[in-house]
Amino acid sequence: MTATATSASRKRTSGLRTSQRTRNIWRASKLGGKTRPTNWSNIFRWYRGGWGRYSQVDPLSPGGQPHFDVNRVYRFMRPDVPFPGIDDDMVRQWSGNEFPYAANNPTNNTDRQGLRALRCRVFTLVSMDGPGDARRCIMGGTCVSAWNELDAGITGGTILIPNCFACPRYCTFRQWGGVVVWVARGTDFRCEPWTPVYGSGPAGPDVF
Amino acid sequence: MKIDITRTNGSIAFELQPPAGFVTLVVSNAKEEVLWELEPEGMQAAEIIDAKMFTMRVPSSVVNVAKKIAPSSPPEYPAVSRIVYGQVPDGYRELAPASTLKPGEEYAVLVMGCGLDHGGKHFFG
Repeated sequence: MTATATSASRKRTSGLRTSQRTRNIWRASKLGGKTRPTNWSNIFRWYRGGWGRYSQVDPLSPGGQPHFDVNRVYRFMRPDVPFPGIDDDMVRQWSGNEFPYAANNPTNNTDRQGLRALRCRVFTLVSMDGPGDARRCIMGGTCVSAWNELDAGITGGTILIPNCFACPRYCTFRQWGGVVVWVARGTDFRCEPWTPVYGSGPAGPDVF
Repeated sequence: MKIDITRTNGSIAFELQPPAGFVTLVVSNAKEEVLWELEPEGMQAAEIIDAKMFTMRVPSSVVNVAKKIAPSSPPEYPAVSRIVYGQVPDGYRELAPASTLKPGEEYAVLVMGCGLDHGGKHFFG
């Protein structure tokens, strides 16, 4: 497949729903078995094979995609290092290359979305009974990239657990962070041990 | 949380300033491969019926605001001041056993504290 053909394919698929676009992308990948495509997409970003990198800025890199918050636009800062030292390499990596894919090693990396993996920890903010025999735990916390502590985010939402247990006070989990990503079912949560609930009535611990 | 890297007799150690308990310690390389991971013995795999949670990348200023939701009495795990690579401190266990670090290769260590604090450092094997 030529670059022109891929470009035309992209134009044709631009008006399609995401699911249709996904199928077309997979079809393009299969065609690449005979003639290697120059462009492909992993849904999140377009990758240009000849360049060995994405054709769009990594939204998570310093200076990447802006974020809107309280009517202001924020971008990840480019860190300054006042003196030469061990941190120079980190600054070069995050300041000098906004188009990386999987740490520039797409063959071996597990970065499925072209985005860095995050480690998250959450606290139970509110414990609620239901639905049914479940207990709903509303949780909130923060996430940090294991490779770059400056690359961080927030996380929140609910988990459902059997109502014979209290909401865990604290949990950790891994996530591949996008600008906004929903934690998939089956995510490996690790929490403080479940505390059985005896008797009836709402169960704690509510942190607040 | 501040982390200093020290080397003694060929071993690499992470010095936590101030000494603190933590919920996660991860050593990884640029490929994001986990080379060593620790957690407190008090944590366990959780069986969850369903989860609906979002993760959002935000600037560090927003993260600092979010840290205010941390409870005033976070879980307490054994405080550690020095962790030698490959040696599990008391009260913690390995989720991933320590792999051999290659001299000259760059690695990163991330320590997430018991609250919403964290610290990280890059170092060479």
